[in-house]
Amino acid sequence: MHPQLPTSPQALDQRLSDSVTSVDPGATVNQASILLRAALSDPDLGDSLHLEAEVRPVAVGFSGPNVPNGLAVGNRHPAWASVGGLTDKTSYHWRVRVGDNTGRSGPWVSFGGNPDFVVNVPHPPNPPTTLGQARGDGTGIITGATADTDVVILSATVSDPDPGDLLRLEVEVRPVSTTFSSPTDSSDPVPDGGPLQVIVGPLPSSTNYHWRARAVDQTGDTCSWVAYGGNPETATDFGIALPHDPYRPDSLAQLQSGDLLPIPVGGVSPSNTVVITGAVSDPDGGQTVQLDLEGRWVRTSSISPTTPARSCRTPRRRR
Amino acid sequence: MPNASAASVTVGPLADNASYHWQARAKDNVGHTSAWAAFPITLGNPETATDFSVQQPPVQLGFTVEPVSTAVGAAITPAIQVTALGANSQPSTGYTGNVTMTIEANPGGGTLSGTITVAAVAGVATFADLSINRAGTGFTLRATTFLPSLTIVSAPFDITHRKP
Repeated sequence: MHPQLPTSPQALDQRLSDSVTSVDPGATVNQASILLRAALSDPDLGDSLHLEAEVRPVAVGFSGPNVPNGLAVGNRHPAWASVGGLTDKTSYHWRVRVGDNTGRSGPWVSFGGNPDFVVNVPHPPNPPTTLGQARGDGTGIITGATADTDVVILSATVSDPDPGDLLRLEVEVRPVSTTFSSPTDSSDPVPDGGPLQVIVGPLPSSTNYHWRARAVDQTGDTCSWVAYGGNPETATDFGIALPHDPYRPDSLAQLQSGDLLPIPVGGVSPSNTVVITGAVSDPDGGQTVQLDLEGRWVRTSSISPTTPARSCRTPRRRR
Repeated sequence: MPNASAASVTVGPLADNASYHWQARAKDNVGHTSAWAAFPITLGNPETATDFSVQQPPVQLGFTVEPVSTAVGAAITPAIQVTALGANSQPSTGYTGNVTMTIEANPGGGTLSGTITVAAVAGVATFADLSINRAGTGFTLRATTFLPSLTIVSAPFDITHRKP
């Protein structure tokens, strides 16, 4: 008998690289490879057979096999062809045929979808850029400077190669004596990223901090950390030093307004204005401090005995 | 670095004839405040204690009880009252200085007798025993203080002959 051509492949299937998971026609695969499978047969029962395949972007017509032949199998056995190097974010169609050990090939059979599968390989977000730090009121903090608020705003621009990904900005803020280990705060997710902020705090006062940031997508995929400041991680990115309350005023005195002679306790002022003096101080350098007064009319005169006592809060100018 | 400075506050205008007590605290430029410090610091400051009183000196005198026509030699009754008044025309209740009474208009050539210098009590000087020994029409009296130097003349009144 003369050798005959193999018959058409049967039971075509496309599977992920685990060889188990079938990919529905037109479905998206998140890897740049795919396995093609079919059952092979040949009228010449003794021939060994292999699967020949052609995989093209849907916009490209079929022209001939472009995939390495699969391993040879016996007649009526399933065979595989492994397709690698697929282009991301591309739709493909494919066809297969049976080849035998004599070099003869059967007819092509297309899988039938259009597209048959789509390659969309997820990528991690890009490292964040334009990192910034500011006080809670939005005023920027110069690298290494100390803020007088315990809430800071950390910002960065995040992006991702995959359109539509939901991106968050994660930050890790630690005292400079503490090494980085895990994120401490995060922004809310935003489609496609952009400039994002994380409000951090309240942070303990009298402490210097360093921080880093990274982007995270909706799958939890992250980019590498980016440290703020371009300085060694033993260096301070910002410090927190909350202002302290002033000390209680000291050396209080009450003086006559004209000659500034002291009015003894319980004494009389012949004027309707009185000068109150005191020494004010504050543990924070650079603060201005004023004397704040509260006076109370403790006893009314006999002129209007029914007038109730009243209080008068009189915050006044300093010095 | 802690900072320190002397600060002062001028308080007023305060009501006259009133007593006050007060407390102070320090307040920095970001609104932080210290605890209140009562005056005087060493003695504390109960709510009922007076730290100082305002008693402004009188700026004028007023006859709150004018002399009335009276018989020769008899005490002018009701007793004449002169009140020290503040700038608000209210009595200077803290004033306790002397008020001296003299005859200003003396149509009869009389002599004023009795206690002519009286210390004010709560701003009011009361002359209970003044009399004039000659009759006449249109007498007036002048009330005077030394510190402050104030004076005022009464409304005219008559000294009449005694009825036989």
